[in-house]
Amino acid sequence: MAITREEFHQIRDFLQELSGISLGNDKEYLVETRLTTLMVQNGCTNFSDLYRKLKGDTGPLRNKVIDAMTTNETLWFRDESLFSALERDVVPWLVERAARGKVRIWSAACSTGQEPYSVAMLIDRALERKPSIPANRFEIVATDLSPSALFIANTARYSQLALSRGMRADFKSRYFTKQGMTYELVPKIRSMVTFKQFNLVETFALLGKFDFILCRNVLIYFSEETKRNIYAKLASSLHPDGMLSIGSSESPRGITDAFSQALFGKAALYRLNKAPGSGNTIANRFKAA
Amino acid sequence: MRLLTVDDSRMIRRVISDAAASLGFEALEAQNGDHAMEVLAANHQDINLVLLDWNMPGPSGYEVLQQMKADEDLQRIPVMMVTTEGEPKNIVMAIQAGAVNYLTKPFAQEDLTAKILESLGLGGA
Amino acid sequence: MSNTDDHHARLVESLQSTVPEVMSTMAFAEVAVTGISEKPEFCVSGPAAGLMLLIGERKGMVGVSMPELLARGAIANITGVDPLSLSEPDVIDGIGELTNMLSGGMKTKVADPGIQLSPPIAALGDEYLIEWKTGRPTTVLELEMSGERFTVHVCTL
Repeated sequence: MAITREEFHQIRDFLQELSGISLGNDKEYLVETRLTTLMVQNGCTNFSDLYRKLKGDTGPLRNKVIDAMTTNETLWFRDESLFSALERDVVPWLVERAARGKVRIWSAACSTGQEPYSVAMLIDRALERKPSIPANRFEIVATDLSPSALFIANTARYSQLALSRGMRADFKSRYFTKQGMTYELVPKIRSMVTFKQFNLVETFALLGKFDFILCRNVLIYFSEETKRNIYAKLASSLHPDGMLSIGSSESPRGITDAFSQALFGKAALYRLNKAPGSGNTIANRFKAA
Repeated sequence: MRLLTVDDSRMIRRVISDAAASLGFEALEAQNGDHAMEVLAANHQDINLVLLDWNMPGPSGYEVLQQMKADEDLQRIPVMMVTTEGEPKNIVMAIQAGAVNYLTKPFAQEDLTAKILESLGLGGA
Repeated sequence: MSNTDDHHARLVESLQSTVPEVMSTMAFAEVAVTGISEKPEFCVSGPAAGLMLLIGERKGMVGVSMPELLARGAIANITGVDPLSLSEPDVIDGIGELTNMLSGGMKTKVADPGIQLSPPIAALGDEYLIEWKTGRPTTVLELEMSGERFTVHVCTL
């Protein structure tokens, strides 16, 4: 039984083509271990076997392999400058919109839930000053490819360790109850988020339109072409003056011109380029780039 | 759900027990293979998953795995390896000997919890 | 079987990526290699130190040496507790496992069947020197983590 570099590359290239996921060389070592496990679990004696199985598979095995090829790092309030911008500017704007109707938010690579729950906590804080607006005006949809990440997200229980990564002390005491060694998110925040399994290469049509979309640190895994496709779908899923947040090191520039950048402190957010010039848009209220 | 974590490092046992707790599971601990077999003898009906280190004083995790699979009462319990042994040959050995999953150290907590769930057949495809 | 010099070079090279990997994956700490030097002997001084012997066909030793607070910090990050709340036995156990992971990662990367590792040895104390009298040179990796310096040593017989 031989596991050769060539066979490994064959699988990696096949997956890149199939899922649009592009793997950096520095991840190779980690991925090789995971793929080896999958390989043996599926009764294959070498990577060529696994490759053959993958070609014939329509879903479950491919999902597992995609899972094996992506790594999810999760922090609460992950990006300081983003969360400042959310707290100071975006959430108040969303609250204002909520006075007039439903506000829909989408966390498009939610992993184990930290991102959508962080947004929910910020909204809850802001609503304290607006008692006339009920929390159920806000719908937060959170999706991810990984069923196990979604399981954890739905459980909404985090270890001391997971909670220590970026959680602010005031939020911790307010929104979590300690149960033995773990912390459980309070029901009112938990109920603000709905989790679904979703693959970004699918159509977004059934998800509806959103006021705010977070699609952070997942586009990096995709090829140029797939990215272009996803940006187009994101643009179609936003209300005319909706906002998009992508990873701080990412940019739609060079891939699509559907978006224009708006800076909030050090955080860059994106609006549709065809956003109306008048009306209660963020551009008319805050400084834009 | 109840897990048994077998590792001679208290630090690793703690990390795994905490991860188990965050999933709403209980965790038992054993510091080596012999201790693990004692715990299993007393609790096998209630243990849903065993996480095994490979290199430990006394019997190796691989030997414990083989013992479990040869035992009528213990063979039905899923086992996952959690070890620094990361070479393909070790992975193949373990899975062919009956381990359902394999996690190499160092590991990210997300991977640990994902593999625990996978090994229990929860939240997975 | 490749010659000893080549083998030694592979050990050193693999450690340069393994050490940062272990620390960033488990202790959420960024590690940078700031220097590599060669010393005539294998000598570590702690205060927190871990050692592992290479006991297969390829003989040698890997060691790590760091300030106590750095060890406590890393273990605390791994377990999510306060670094000063760790007992001495906890710190010793943690040093041993960190050394185990560093050396184990090195072994996996090099993938040489002649490499077998002993169980880890861990030491914690105020002032001491551990010397392995082999008459063979030791490569010392100088590293930085959380603003503190530490070293990883490898000697091949």
